[in-house]
Amino acid sequence: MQPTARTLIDRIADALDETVLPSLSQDKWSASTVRSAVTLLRHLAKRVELEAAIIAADTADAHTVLTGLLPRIRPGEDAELKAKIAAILADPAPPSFDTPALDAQNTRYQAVFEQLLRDQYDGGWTNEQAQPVRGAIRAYLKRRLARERDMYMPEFSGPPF
Amino acid sequence: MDERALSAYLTSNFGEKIQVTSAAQAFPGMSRETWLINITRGGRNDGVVVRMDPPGGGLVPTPLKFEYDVFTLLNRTSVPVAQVYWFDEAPDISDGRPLFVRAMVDGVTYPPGLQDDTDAAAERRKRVVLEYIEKISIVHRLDWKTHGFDQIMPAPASPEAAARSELQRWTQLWRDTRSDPFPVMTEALYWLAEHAPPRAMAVSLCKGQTGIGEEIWRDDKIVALSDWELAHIGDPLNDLAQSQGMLNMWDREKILRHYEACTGFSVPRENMAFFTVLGLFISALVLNQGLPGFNAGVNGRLPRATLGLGKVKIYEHMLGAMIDMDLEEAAAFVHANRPNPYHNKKVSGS
Repeated sequence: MQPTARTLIDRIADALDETVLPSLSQDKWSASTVRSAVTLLRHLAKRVELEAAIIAADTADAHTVLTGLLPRIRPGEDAELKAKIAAILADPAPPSFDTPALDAQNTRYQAVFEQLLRDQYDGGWTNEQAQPVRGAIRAYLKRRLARERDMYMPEFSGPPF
Repeated sequence: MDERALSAYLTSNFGEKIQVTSAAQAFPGMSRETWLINITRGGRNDGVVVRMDPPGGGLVPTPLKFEYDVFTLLNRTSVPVAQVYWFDEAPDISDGRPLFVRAMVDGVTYPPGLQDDTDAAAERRKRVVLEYIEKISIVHRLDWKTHGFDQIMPAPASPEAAARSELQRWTQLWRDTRSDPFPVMTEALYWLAEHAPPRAMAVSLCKGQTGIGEEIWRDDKIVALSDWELAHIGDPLNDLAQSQGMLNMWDREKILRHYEACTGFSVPRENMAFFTVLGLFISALVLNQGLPGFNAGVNGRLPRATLGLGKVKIYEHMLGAMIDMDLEEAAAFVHANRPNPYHNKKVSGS
């Protein structure tokens, strides 16, 4: 359908930026609100198109990484973590159009990565045990940041308020 | 704010007739609301400042009462701060939000024209940063134990513990309050732990938020140090590292040498670098605090979303890039990629 959601949001942001904002130069509060609205709209214009695909790709990547790391998780000391990883790996993927469900599942993966990092730093892992895990997680996190980068930059790089 | 109700409230608390003539909220007031109130009392013009929690709570993870207590202790020292009057936990005038009232100090938070591209402005920036160093040195030289600051805030057990205890405090806060899991932040915290400097040259009262936008200036002099909500006892270089662009206003090495002369402390560049990176993480934590109130519809200020979502993402990406760097490289990366919003004319308007 034309105009697309992205076009509509972009045009609303253009109108606020070009028509409303210049008239608010004497009102810091209103100008700040409009500037923030424009920033959020620019982000949303990208997000409506990119978010579902980015999350799905990221979760697939996370799934592959955790599948590879699962055998390295110590069965005794880290049994709870191992069970948590096995459970999330068995979690079926939500439909590709269901962005909230995709996001919720991806958030669960991120929580597991957090716990895995804490366990291998604080849980008495030897360097030999920790290094490959840490390396795989760092590599994944860098891919994740690269994947989502366009949703946030340069929109949020400007004045914050 | 309702000026009639405010007049009645101030009259009741001061015990004399107070007439509010104007009330305006200071911009941008993201962490907490600061209201500048012009009044008449006893036939003369005066002013007070009302500092209060915004709807949904402040961004800074310390209670407002803490900042009031810091002001109260500072009023008994040589540190230039406004006189504080009283704290009120849940008055009707603020719909039950905590507030405290202090004297208004005549001045500005953004010295106008400071960022102009002229020789005169460059000379002013030098004057301003030297003035800042002299005033923050008074704070850092203060005998915090004699003045009782360790009764209201924790103090590290030793100079050797200063950096690690500060990092642990923020790590725990992050785990307790973050809006989502952020494995990049988790990894960055371990990176910081590995790079914590072994020793602070002093253990001082630190202001926590310093620089342009945080102090009151008149004729390029600081007449009052404001915003003490992140005050703590620790490595004083934390303040310099997080001074919101002050160290970019003139020759950085000369500024640090002036600080060393004013305080008698040396400035290990490793400590400066560590607190520069830690400051980025602290900013992410603080900005993220605004999201629960925004998400719940209790505080719909849009900058809460641009900061709590957008800036936090920017900082997460920066920290993610830094975990493969050494400390000096990471600090240089922060300096290069984190402009001070208060130095942006769109924001400051001056």
